[in-house]
Amino acid sequence: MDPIITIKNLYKSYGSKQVLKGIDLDVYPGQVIGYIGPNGAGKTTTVKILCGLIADYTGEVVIKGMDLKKETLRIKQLIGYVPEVNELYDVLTPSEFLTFTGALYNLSPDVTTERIERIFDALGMSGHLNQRMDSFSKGMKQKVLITSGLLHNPEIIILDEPLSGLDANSVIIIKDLISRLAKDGKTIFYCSHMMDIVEKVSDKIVLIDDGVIVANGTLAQLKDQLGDNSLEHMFASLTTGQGGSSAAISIMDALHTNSDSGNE
Amino acid sequence: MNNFFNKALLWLFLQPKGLYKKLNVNTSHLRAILIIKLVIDDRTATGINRVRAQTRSEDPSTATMFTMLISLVMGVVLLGVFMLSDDVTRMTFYFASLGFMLAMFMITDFSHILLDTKDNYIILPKPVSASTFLIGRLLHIVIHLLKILIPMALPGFIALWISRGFLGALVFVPVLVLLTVLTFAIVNVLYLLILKLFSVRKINAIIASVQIGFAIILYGSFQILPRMLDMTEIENIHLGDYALMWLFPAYWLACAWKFIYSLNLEPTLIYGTVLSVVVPLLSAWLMIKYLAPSFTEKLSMMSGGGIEQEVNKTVVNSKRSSSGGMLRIFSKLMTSGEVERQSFLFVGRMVSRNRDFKLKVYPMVGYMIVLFALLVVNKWGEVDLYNLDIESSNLKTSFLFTIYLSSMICVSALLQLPYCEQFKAVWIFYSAPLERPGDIFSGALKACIYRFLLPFTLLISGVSLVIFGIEILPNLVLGFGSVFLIIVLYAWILFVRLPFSIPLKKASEEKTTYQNFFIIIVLPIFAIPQYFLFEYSLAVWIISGVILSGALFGLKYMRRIRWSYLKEG
Repeated sequence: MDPIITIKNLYKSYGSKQVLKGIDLDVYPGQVIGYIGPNGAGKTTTVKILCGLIADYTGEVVIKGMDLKKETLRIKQLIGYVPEVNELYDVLTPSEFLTFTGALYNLSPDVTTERIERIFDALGMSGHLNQRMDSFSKGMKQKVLITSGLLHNPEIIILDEPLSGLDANSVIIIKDLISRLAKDGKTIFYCSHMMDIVEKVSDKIVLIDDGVIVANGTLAQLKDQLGDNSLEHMFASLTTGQGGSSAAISIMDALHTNSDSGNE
Repeated sequence: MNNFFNKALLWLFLQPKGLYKKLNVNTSHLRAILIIKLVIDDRTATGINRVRAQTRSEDPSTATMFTMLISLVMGVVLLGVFMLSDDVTRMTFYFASLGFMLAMFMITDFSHILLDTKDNYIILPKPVSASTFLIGRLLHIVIHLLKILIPMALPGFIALWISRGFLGALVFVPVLVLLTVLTFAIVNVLYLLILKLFSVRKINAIIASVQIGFAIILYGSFQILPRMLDMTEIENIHLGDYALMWLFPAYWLACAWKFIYSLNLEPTLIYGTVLSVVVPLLSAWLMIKYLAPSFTEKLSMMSGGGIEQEVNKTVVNSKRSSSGGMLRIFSKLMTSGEVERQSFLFVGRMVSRNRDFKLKVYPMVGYMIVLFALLVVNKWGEVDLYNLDIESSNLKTSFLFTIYLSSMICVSALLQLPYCEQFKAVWIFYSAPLERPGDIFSGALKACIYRFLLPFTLLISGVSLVIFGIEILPNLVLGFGSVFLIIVLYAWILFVRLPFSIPLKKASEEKTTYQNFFIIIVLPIFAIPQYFLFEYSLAVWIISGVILSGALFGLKYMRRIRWSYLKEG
């Protein structure tokens, strides 16, 4: 099977600051990729390139046989992007915002309306369809964003921290949704630093640090490779260079400094 | 988007379907983008609206109408220049003031359009062609501009129609377009300059200062322009006599209007016309070719990398800044106990950094200066400068006015203090093991006094002592003692809520009521007796003593405020 996403030798810098330093990655249809790394590692930049938000990268990105730089619009139609929570116009109502999204994805208004209503029903949000989003909680906004990402039934779904700020119930719904979408043959690019969930939903884990991929494989492969039990430990050893526990020890030391002056 | 104006403009701009097709613009996408943008505009409080939206609890869905109304009023005010005698002079003044107003509106109202990075996340991931996106953005800006420009220029149009016939008004329109292009280019350069000179993070703060300046200029022009109308000499000015005028684009535009209207082949008019056509077109070309790309690049920096470096810069700067040092020194002088001191520092920093707070309170400072200037011009001018006599009743009134009104800045700061965008952060006060909130309140009050009363006290006292000599001292002490007491009393009424603990949206009519009550009732209660006691120094000293001890007692006792004193919600 041919990969649905091929990234070759991807470089990107902001001014003098190089963010991506040669990313190579193949993603196959129906895979759930957990793309993880610490803050500032280059996760979001990769996602922005894949979504066509950043065009001035060097290297090659091919999606479904099309070059991202040449056939941007056709590729965008294939992708559903769920950004982090704050990226929406919150003075609008979900109905207004999603109808707008549908129009941009070339859906007919009738189809859009029906899909919005059914998805909102399933998410338990029907009552909020015509309320302005500025009063919404993080979880509610996230549900609107997820709806906007799925509305046009995309083949590739890119999720950037989709579970941040969600309540336990919504987390279960989204996790379940991710595995069902994958079973349906959709490719999911899951970007996060919440390791425990990545561990559970992903077929393949890609760990990025300081603009390069430091590990790439299934959970089992990574475990073999590193001989460690949980991904969180791997994560710590790969990215901080010293492991999480020494940071914890330093913090404990700080708390034990002279308690008399602690109130100042 | 039930606004007729929006609908009409939208319909109009969607007409050239053939042209859009040629430009590879998807009209249904374009329509969707414009509709949603106009709805957002209607519901977003920006610039002028921002100040208003917070004083009312209703939602700002009528924002557009309000902006248009303000523009219309400004347009009527601009008609003042039509009293000037010759055409070129009159139109120069008119275009200059119109351009200035337009630029101010653009800076304050456009920041959310020009600096919007949300579009990049929301629209760009969708299969929308680059040209659709660009045209959508451009049309949005144009519609937005027209909403300001049309009402602002309408009075001028009508005035020209009446005085010069339809042709005069018609010629006015293309010149107006040139003016707009030129103004837009200048504003763009200004933005780029700001982006170049200051860190990306500071942009909002700078725009806020421009907004504050704008509010003051608006207020000042409402106060001062009508008074200028009395000046008879100004009617005889002929700008054509000054070679320096060639430096002002408004002069070229005036020449262009005159030239097209009169077809007078005077060389001056022709040069002016050429300049007024060439320069805007050239600047538009430069804008598209060079400015726009670097603008976009800067903006992508704003939403992309590079932010962390910016954050570090801000931290370093605030540590070094001298005002921060002053705040720390005064925190030690004015407070006792660590909680009160930290509250002083917290409030002192918040009021000088929080954008919404500044927008609400700082224009007040400007109003006070304008008011002060007017008092000086109107009242002090009548007094013989060689025979300065404080007992002269006019002077006495001005003096008392100045002192008592200076308290309004601090009072409006106190009124605004509970409101904040990030009101949820108030948990910190509740989760900390604080026995009473009193220390927080007294620290907050002292910080407000330090920031909003002390500087004016020092300034006004200094000026008064220089002008009137030492014999003014007792009345200065009584005046500012009373102001101090009034502020403490107000704090007692208002401090039923922790600082920055209520959502901005809730800043309601209650505030206006307090403010009016303050001006009409509270100030005169103190000011009128002082007016009559003015000459009796001994009495003034005794009352000052009483009032000052009252104020100090009120301030000291504030630390005892218990949790139960707070109002729920």
